[in-house]
Amino acid sequence: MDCYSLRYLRFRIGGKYLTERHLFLKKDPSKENSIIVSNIPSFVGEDVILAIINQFAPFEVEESFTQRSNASDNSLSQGQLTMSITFLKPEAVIQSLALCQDVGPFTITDFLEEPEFPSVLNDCTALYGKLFPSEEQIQEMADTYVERYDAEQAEARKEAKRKYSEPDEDGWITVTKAKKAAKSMKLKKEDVPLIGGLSGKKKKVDLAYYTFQIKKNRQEKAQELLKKFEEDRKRITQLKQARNFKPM
Amino acid sequence: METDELPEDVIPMSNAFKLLCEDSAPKQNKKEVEKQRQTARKVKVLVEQANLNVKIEYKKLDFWTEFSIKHPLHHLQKAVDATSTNVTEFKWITPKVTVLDTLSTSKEKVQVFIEIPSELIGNRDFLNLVYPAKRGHFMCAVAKILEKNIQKIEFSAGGINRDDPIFADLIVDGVRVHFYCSELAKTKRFAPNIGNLRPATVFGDFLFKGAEIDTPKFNQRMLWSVLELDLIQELEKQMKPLPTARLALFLLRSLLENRHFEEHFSPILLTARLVRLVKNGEITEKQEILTVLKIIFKDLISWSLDDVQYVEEEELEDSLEEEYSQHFDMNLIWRHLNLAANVTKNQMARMKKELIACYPLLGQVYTFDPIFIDKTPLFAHYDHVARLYINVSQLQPLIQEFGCDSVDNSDVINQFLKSLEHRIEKTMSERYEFLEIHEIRSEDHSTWNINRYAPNEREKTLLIGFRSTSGWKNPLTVGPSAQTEDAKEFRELWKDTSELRKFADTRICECVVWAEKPSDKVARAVLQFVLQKMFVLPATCLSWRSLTSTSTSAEADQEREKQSQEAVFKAFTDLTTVLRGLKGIPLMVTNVHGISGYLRGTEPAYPSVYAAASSIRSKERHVVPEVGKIPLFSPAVTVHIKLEYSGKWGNDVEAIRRLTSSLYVKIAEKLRDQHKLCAVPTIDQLFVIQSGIVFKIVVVNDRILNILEEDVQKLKDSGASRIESSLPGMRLALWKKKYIAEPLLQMSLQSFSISHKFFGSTVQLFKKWLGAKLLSGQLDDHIIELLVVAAISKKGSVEPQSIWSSFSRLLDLISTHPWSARPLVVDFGTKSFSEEERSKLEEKFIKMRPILPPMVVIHDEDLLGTKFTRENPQGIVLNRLVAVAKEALKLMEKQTIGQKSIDLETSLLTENLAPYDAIIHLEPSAVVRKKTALQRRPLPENPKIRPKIPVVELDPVDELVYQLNNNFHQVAMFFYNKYGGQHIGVMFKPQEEEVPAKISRCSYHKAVSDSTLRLNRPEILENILIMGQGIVSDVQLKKE
Repeated sequence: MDCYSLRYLRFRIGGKYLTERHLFLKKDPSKENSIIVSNIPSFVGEDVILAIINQFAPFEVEESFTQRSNASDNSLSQGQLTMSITFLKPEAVIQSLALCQDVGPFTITDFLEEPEFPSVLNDCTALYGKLFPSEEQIQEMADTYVERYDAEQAEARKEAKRKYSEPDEDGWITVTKAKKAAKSMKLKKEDVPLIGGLSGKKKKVDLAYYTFQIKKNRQEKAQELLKKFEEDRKRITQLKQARNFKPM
Repeated sequence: METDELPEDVIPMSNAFKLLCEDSAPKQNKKEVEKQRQTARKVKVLVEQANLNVKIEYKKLDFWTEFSIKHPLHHLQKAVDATSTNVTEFKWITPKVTVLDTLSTSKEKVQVFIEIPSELIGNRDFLNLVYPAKRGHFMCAVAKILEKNIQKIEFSAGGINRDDPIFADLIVDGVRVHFYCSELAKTKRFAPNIGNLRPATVFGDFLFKGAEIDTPKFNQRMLWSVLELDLIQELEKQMKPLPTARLALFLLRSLLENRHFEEHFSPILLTARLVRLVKNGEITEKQEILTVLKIIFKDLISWSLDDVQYVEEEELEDSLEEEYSQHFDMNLIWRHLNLAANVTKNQMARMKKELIACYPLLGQVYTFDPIFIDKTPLFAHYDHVARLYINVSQLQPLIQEFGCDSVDNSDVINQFLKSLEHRIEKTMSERYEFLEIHEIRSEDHSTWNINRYAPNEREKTLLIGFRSTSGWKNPLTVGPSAQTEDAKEFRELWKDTSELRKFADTRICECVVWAEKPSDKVARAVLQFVLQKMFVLPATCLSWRSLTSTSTSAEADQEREKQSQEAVFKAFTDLTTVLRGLKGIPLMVTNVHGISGYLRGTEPAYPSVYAAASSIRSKERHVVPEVGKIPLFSPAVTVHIKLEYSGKWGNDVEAIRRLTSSLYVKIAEKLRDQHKLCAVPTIDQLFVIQSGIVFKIVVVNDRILNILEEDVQKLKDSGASRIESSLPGMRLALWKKKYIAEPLLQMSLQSFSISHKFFGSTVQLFKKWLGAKLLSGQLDDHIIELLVVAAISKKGSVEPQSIWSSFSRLLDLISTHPWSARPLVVDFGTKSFSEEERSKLEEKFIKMRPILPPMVVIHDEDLLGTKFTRENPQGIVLNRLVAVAKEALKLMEKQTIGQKSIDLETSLLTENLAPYDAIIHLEPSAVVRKKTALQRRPLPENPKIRPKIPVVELDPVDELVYQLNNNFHQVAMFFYNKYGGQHIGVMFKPQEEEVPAKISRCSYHKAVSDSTLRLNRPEILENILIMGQGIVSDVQLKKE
């Protein structure tokens, strides 16, 4: 048997719900003595899964935890879960994977004393009830938080003050650069000297004097026009493509 | 309409616009044109060389039958028998044949004109049907000559509008052959005040003995056959050196065609109008296309209805001009021929309206398509439509009126329609801006084989479309003051149904009273009155085609929705006053914004906007749901408030949240003490009942924005990249969306709904329709409203005025917009994006297309266009939406032209569960948004009864669908109807049917072999049953 291949374990929920389902088991390649169990309905507890596995592979479990859920909000109470089980002994892995396909189907409700599953309706009505704490509670919650917050703030302020005034364990005092009170000089337009004024760059006077300049200018202008024309053409092709586009 | 009302801020001509225009010009298929030219030459040679030995009496119309050719006037034998001429013999004489290239005046590029030799024409042949009969003989002779050498010869309706079977043309292998006779008579002979057709010759002596009546229409038809070659030659000659003008003409023609004007605005008329501008010197050779287009648009918009205008500089005598303007709505004269004889006032009004909408957009690149390319279905142009069916036998009692100037049945019906239009104008002109009567043809009557009889339509189906004004529903038709001459006339017109009414300003007027209250039924009653009482037609010949049935219950429903919206709005205004005036709270309320569709009536009030009353006796001021009992839905209208500035909020979002919650407690206390309102605070909001409606008050604090921005700034300063996907970045974006973008958008929508009264009801219908297609939740509510805004305020079309037109345009928009290739840009009409901004937006769209969602809707608050479409709809859902919109459009078309009127709303809102793989049936008690038999009302103001905040905004079906998607998003999709749907449709993703055996893909699968897993559908359905306890009654898997 290739213990890295995907093995399944048949089970059903029980009661009214008798569809055959598969749990999927696989050796965890990244962790010693561990298997991954997947496709566990979120409403079936971790204990139940462990109990089922214990039925045909009675070994001591060192650690087990739920890794993830496939629900889009990643909530572990929704969707199908993936679980990791670490055994104490390596043979537990081999035995559980070897036997899992031959046993079962197990029935979940057999492992529960009071089989009851969560439902959307109960969840949302329960949540709705929680939305309305009493006014006193609201006030109290606000007060405690704000008190704590104020205390923290005061503490933080003190801490900061201390930093600037008293030396720390190493004997350092934090110093910051004092702000310079340099104000930018504002000049009115008429105050700006005409030649070689404050503005650093000289303005380039666009005077085509030589023939080569005239030529160059003309070429540049033509280039620009051509570029713009190309752009326009591209835009229009796109528009046209969109026009011919048939959504269905 | 005067042209000076048109905006003058002209957009300069851009290369892009020029390119667009040139690009959309018709591509000359040189091969095709050459082929036509060859055919034309062949016709010329064959006809000129023919030697046909035929000599017959011109009245012998069935002569050609033996050659399997039917004379086009065959069915009018009696009328032809009643004619006389001095040249009774018809024989073949070789005619003059002209082949002409027609670049402007017609879609056909090459046409042939054959002149009927004058030897065959008698000196008074312009009278009655002599000339048409002889012309028919000549056509049959030509058909006979060509028959052997030509593949396909057909008759085709001729005349200026190509709709006249009496003056038919021949179509020879796709080339139109005209027959004319320029020497039939002087053009003056066909002036409108002269009678050339005695009704007695057509309909027999018994009715019209000795009657001599003017026949303006018939004269124009005859005159066309006299002048057609001259006119076309002249127009072509003028247009030939003006390629830009030709291009403009082409664009104009396609604009008019897309808006269904082609029936009446013939290419000849449009060319003549343009030639007139050329002759005036307004259009010259060197003008740019944009300039030419603007000149033409302006010219058409300012075309006066009262003046008689001329193509060239010629003038008729005043008295004759008077005749023209009396007989025709529009006049554009060329040598006594009125090119605009078929255009009515109403068509002109509609065309002007359309052109005015387009004019300011000329020159813009991104509105080119809406102006010149996009085509809207005919029925979407009108706010109200009716289907009229007329059989000529129904008009027999009125034949004396409509038989004049008519040659056949079709003419009689047309005369009736013209008269009907005038009568409607007289009786209900205050109710509409324009109306138009379109013929609905089941098959094409314009061409027929030469061995078939010419069409002799005894019946016509028509579509009457109205663009309504605010007076459409007015229950009164107010006439002139009592005791005047006009009053007498008015009474006569209304067959003494009018009565005297005294108005508030002490006027006493004649009035016809149609109903107690304004209603859609009034206009129906008026039109029915016109048809039944004024034309003695049966009531069944007219049937109104509308979206909603006019049954009393449907009207009551609409009324209820309207009242609900008004109630919410009023309660909101009251609450605003209360909040602003609230004393004794730490910070005063400065701003109050209503953020809800209920305020503008865009949310169906299912089951009611009012809070549900509670029977539970407890001290609590609010109700929580009991176990096993699901209360009907109560909405809560969200209100955002802002408080005066304070520097004491601190720097911690959580602290602000806590402080705000204690503020809610304080506000609630004051609301209870000062205003006796029921107010319940929670941590993040405050619920209040005002006038029976629950409001959810949320404090918006800009301090939070600053803190979040600071956090992001810190992150930026620390050199982090990809701020958008970091936690602070996402929090900031979410806050901005929820408390800035959404409220601003809602404000724009609110003001749009005020200026467009039918906006709310259209959105409601759209929402219900989406629900019926099980697409609730697939489009964000904001997007739903934005789509409606886009459809209503679409550039380059006249804004709709009713649910009918706005909903059909909405469907048209959804089904024709190229979603994957272009963003949808929504303008609220107040300020729109400039050409440059538009171009930047579109460029960005194209660059980012691969990472943008399938639907991109750009508006002022969202320049990228993805704020509300990031998650939904997915591509596959958008495709489905497009498909169902197309289906719905077809249904609307069927409703407009189909024989029987259907209950369209019910048909549109019918669920179809066939496409789904599995169906989840819901417990009826869990469906909390549904219409109830008993209407909820606001509680009476009674100090003894203390209202309680009911269970608000709790819809278990919404919750269930959320969890279904959450749990099964990998393997299935869920579709439901928010508004009272009893089922949820499940579609399994086909790619999940069989997957390789991997731990990452094993969820909801079952092993079938070592290497493959198969989707375990029963497992999924079982899980749905488990999580849906109390909501789901049953799950049903369809057979594969």
